[in-house]
Amino acid sequence: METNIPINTIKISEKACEKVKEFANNESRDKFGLKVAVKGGGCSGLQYILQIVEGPEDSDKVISQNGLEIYIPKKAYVYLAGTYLDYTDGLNGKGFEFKNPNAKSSCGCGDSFSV
Amino acid sequence: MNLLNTKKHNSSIYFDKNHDIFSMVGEDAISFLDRMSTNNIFKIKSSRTAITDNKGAIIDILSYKVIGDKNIIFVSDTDNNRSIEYMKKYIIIDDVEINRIGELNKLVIFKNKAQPFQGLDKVTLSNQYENKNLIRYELFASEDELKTLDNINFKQISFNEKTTLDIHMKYITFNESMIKTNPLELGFKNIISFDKGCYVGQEVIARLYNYKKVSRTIVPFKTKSELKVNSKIIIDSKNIGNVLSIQKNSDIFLGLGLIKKRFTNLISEEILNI
Repeated sequence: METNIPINTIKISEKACEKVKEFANNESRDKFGLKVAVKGGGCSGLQYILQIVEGPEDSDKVISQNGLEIYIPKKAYVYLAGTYLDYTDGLNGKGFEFKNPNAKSSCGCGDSFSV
Repeated sequence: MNLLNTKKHNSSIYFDKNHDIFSMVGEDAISFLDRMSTNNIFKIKSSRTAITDNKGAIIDILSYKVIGDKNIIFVSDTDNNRSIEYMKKYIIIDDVEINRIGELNKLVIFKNKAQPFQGLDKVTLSNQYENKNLIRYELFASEDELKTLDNINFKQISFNEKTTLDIHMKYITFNESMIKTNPLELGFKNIISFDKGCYVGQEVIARLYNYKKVSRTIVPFKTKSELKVNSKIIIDSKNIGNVLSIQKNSDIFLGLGLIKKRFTNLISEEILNI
């Protein structure tokens, strides 16, 4: 697992990129990117959002990794800087998993966090 | 203020101080309040809801009404900006704006269950609470709306009488002295949705409820000692809880205590020697 992610970016694992592309292909999308965001809610106060979208919005920061474009709304970026997004499958896999250095605590399912 | 006909005495009314009213407007307004508070805002269009922090402690209680699919109006029990500022911190990518839109008269009406109040549709916002054969209505109304209620007969009661009735009904108006409490110990189970999914504080509140770990409960008591809100209640040298509300009635004080459950057997209908 990546542990030293520069705080001016987020990193997405190769496995997670492949999984996003697989989901997009299943939806027959030609042009797509991954929106990664944060909104109020979840048990801990802030919950992660992952969405496959056609392209970035004007206020999004755009990062390219492993042939995938990642769009992060600037207002959400402060909560996500330095985050590593991974994907684990199999019987004990957790699906998409955020390792967020800004999170002081997380809820049991890992979908939300507090700062 | 004496805008209503108070000559006949078949109902009681108390005029509180005016209250600020707020709007929450935007595409995500309903979803946002649903994620930030305990009630199911999608299903229940007009009620109360508790804003809680990630440890399940109450920030404030809101009375709200959903109008259409992009607008909610609400007032807060504490009538200060604390919960507004708290919620604004969580507006990140949501399309939501929270604004103060004015001020409304606050009225509290007590009616017998057999004769429910019929004017709820005439006011901007309302909520109701039932206990001990009484219904307690909280109404928020403009001056014009007040005039439409003029043909209803009320007995106007004082703040002390209102507080006595609230204690009798075990009704809690949330205030800043209750900040570290959770909604289950204050008896707000009826404004918590246990099946709507995540909201801030849900994990703690669901665990307290499902594992029966709520350690305190509201208990009415009587005493001749002059206690104040937040005073410790000590019986047999044991600190069994603290006072949530208290009101002198003749030479006896009636109160509601937030009592540790293992000590509730020490409180009875008898006058307590505290």
